[in-house]
Amino acid sequence: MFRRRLGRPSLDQLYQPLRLPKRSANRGGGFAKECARLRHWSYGITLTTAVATVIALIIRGWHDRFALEIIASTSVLAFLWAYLLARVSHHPYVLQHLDEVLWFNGAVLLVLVTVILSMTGGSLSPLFWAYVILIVVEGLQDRRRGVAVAWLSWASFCAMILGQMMQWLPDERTGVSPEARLLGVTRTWHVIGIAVWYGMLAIAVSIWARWVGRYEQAIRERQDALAERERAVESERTMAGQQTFQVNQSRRQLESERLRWEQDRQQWERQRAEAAQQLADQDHASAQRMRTDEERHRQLQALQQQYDEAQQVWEQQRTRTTKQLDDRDAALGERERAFGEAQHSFETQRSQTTSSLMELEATLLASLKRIGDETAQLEEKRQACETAEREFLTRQAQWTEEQARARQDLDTQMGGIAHEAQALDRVKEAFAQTQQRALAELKQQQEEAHERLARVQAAEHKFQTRQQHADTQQAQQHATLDQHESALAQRAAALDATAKQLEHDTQACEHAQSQAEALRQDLQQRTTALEQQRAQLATEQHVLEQERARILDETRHQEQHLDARAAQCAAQEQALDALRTQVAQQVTALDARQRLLTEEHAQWERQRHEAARALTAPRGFFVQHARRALQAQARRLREEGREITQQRKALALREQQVEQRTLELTRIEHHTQVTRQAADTERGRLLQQLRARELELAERLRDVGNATRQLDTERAVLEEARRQLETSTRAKSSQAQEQLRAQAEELRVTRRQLEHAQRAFAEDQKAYERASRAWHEDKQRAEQTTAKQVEMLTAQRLALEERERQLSQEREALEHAHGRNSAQLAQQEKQLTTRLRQLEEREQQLARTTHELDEQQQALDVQRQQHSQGSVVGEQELAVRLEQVTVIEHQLDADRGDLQRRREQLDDDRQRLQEQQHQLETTQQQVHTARRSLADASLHHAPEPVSSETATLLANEFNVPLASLNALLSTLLQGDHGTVPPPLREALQDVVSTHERLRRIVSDVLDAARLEASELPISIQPITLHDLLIPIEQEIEPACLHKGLTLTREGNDALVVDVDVPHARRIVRAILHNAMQYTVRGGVTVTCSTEHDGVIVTIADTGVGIQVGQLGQLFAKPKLGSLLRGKGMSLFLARGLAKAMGGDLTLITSELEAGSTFAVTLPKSTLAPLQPADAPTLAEAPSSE
Amino acid sequence: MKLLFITHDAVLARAYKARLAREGFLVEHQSTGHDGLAKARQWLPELILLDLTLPGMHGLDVLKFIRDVPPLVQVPVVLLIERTLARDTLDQCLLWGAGSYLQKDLCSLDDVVDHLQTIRAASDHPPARSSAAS
Repeated sequence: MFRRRLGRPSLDQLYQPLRLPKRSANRGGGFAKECARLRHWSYGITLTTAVATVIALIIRGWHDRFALEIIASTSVLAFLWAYLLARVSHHPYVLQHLDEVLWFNGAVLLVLVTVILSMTGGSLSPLFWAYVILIVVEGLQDRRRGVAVAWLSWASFCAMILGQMMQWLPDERTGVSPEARLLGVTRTWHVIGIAVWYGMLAIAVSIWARWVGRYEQAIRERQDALAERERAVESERTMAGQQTFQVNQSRRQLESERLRWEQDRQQWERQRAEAAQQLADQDHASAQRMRTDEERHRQLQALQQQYDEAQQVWEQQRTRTTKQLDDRDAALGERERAFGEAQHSFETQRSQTTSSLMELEATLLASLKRIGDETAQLEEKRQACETAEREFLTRQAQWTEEQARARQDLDTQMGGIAHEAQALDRVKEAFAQTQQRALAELKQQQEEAHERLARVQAAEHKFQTRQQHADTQQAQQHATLDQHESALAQRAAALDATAKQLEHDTQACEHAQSQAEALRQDLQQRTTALEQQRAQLATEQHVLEQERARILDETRHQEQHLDARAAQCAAQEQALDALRTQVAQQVTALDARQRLLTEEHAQWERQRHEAARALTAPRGFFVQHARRALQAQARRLREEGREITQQRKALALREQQVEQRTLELTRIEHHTQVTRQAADTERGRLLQQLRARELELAERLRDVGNATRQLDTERAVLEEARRQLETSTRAKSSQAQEQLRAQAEELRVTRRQLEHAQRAFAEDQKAYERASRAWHEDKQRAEQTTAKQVEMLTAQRLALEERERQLSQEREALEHAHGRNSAQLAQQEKQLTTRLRQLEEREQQLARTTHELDEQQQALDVQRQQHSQGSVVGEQELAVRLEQVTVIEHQLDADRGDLQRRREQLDDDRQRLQEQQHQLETTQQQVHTARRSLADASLHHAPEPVSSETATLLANEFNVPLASLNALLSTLLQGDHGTVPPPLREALQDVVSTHERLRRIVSDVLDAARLEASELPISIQPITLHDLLIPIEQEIEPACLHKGLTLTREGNDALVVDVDVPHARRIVRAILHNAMQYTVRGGVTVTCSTEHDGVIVTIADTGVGIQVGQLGQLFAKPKLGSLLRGKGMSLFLARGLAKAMGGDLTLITSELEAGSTFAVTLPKSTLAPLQPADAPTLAEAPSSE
Repeated sequence: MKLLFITHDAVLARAYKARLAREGFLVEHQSTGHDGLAKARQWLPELILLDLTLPGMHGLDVLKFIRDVPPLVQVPVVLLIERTLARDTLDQCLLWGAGSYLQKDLCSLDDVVDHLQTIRAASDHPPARSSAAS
């Protein structure tokens, strides 16, 4: 009747708590409904009481004071009752005991109706419809109550009859019912008829209630069966979805493994190619090195040639210088000869001058004789001559003095010259001696140089032989290297062949894989066909559900139609009642009018009598006037009588209408019965159709099972094929591995040979270096000796130059001495100077030649230095090359190690692949068995629960995305992505709450898995119970206040416990949260106490308690289905955590509707508590002490 | 403060980026270890938030490479881990100089922001030399 659906089913209903009784499942919506019911009751009672009071007052109240009082008090009581109902309709206690209240309400209303009926005519009261209304309303609300009220009303009616029969109720109060009057039956028959009618009504109501109960039970059973069927289908679908998900996952894993294998193969190929490239590069580098060695060798040869050439040039220069020295010696001899000639000429000139002087003396003596002769002649001139003579004498004396001085000078000069000639002879002798010595030394040095040259030539010869030897060795090494290279090329060719074979194998594998892929595609097609069939089934199921919904809608429509009909009936009954009351009112009005009329008639009669008496008296104007008045009155009376008759006719018409309406009512009731029967038959037909559809569905499911079996067999065939393929691939891979190993060994052997060859080459190179060093040392020594000789030569040259300089100085002194004496001497001196100039020029030429020699020597030194530098650079280059070779060898070793490691990794990967394949096989077998079990289950309609591993896996997969989603939601709500409008914010809040619940479930599942695997980290620290409990209480307190519950703490909360604080809080929070959730009134009490070596925290509530059947599974690990249906993991986890910390969690007592008491045992601490600080999710790294 | 956030989780990155940008961090996000390393070398962040679960290069390897780059040796690195991470891996990360770690499936965003702000405050007001040395 007052069915009103809730707008949105609370999500909490999905997580119906374990100990919640079924009756109060949807209490939140039920309260409002029940309030509305009570309010409607109150309105109905008020309305009905008002109507009944008016009717009762109309019927009896005006004439009987007692009845008036009783009716008034009854109506007041009824109004009070209605007010009370309206007043208490919100009270939770009343709402909790609504059934009892409604029962009491029925009883009260029955009593009140009975009182009103007894006051308005007892068994004949026209208000007996009130019973009918009460029965109908109660029956429609609650069948049992309707039946009870029907029988009670019948009983009270019978009691009223009995009371009237036994004269307990006065007769004059009963009156006569208008129906009885209208039907024309006697009072007794009327009363009996009404009693029988009531009895039939009660029987009909009870039959109806029973029939409706059975019908409802049948519908409920059918609904339950359908719901179970739905659940079964849903669970099958979820199982199939999970299995397809698992199959897809395993397929994806296989695919990924294949891809990884492919990638590994490609990587291996790449590595092989790289290694080949590296080998080629190394070969290229070694060839280049050989080329550079050759070039260097060539350069060395060129340098040696240059050296030889330089040596030849030096030899030439030496010979040239010796020649020049000889020339110079010859020139010196010539100069000595020239000097002798000059001396001779000088002597001749001196003799000539002395002869000329003698001639001059002779001429002078002759002139003296002439003068003596002429003295006589020239006496006058004698004085002049005397003066001239004196002058001449002085001049003669001067001249003689000068001559004497000149003679003395000449004598001294002659002596000096003789001395100088002696000295010169001595010098010449010394020079000749030194020259001889120098020549001897030069000869010796030449001999030594020849010897050294011979030695150098021998060393060169040796060097050349060594070089030839080295060349031959190099050629041999080249040959061996070529051999190795050819072997390597052959191996590379073999490797290529194996690679080709591998490619061929891989192609075969790929072909097999493509076959497998084709098979897989076929399987996929089949699975898609199966899925299509499944989808078809789902659509059929959907159609069935639609049909069911349609049937339910139809039944609901029919029910609504029936309800509407009933409401129409009720309305018509009410209208009938109203009509009846109207009729009764009209009847009473007519009665009153009749009474009035009779009184008027009596009055009129009296007036007529008085008029007659007055007529007997004198007549006149008054009499006429009175007659006219009387006639008018009589006309009026006639008119009134006409009106009365018309009203009676109208009343009769109304009564006929009422009869027609009652007939219509009976017709309608009949029609409703007919329609109900039709609805029943329709429902039966639909149920038969449903059954037939279900049978069809079962057949289809059987077909699907057969198809899945066929699929399984095909899958098994496929698996066998794949196994064969795997074995073949394994065999091929093992063959390839063996080939690879053999090739690797060969490669190793060749590498070793190469290394040996390289080592031999390095040793040869070292020997070559040593030889070159020895040669260089010899060369250096020879160079040093030559340098010493050159130095000695230069020293001799310098001595010679000094001597020459001394000679030139002496010569210059002589020249000066001779120049002062005569002009001839000057000429001689000029000649001498010219000769000296020539000498100087020669000296300059000599200096130039010596300079050139020096320059050449310097150039030679530079060349020598360059050569030495070149050799040093070459040595350095060689050292660098050797280092490069060693580095390359190291790299090769490292590469070899890497290759080995990669090979090991590949082996590991292969093993892992094999293991994974094995796992895959096992999982496929599991899938196979699961599929078979699914097929069996689909036949037997018994779905199996999801394994906890799957749940853990799923939870692990969901954990991180859920955390990310949580972060995003929190940023959305905090407006980090822009402002959020209020409706969207509310929706987001709902999303957040749902998300939080989902996260909690996932977190619980994960923690349970970790707890079972003993992987949950636990860090024990001392804490007081007060510090432990206060944050949880602060969390819970607002919710408690909202629900009107009390939260108290008792006992000694200063006790210290050794716990992991977040885990301990989680335990207490879970229990407190449960206690608060399942407690409606009263409160929760937390008690702290000690026992032995533990601390006990007892949490007692006054809630609904735990059902006895679920006590055993309270701390058990929930299955996935039960987890989703509402049983949380909190208690399982809490107990696990408590045990992990060395404590326990137990249920002490539990009574239905009285509450439960849980005890958490925690280990007592012997230490002082730390400061309360916990950060379970945020941990700093340990400092690096 | 320049913060480099290396994670493959696009949803997490969006959320963290929005929130941390509001808190005054200059956030750059990279979704792989290679990209993160390249960005770190080029951008030189002052703080790195590194998710250990990365495709391709593992977060530990990323951390080692970060510590190999001389300008990034002293940059604080905060790890984002899952609660199911093995203890050995975490110890190795801490040995390689990860300053701290956050369990991303247990921490709320506010916790993360508080932690990063603490690090920022510490870097803005570095401790005395003696305490740094200890």
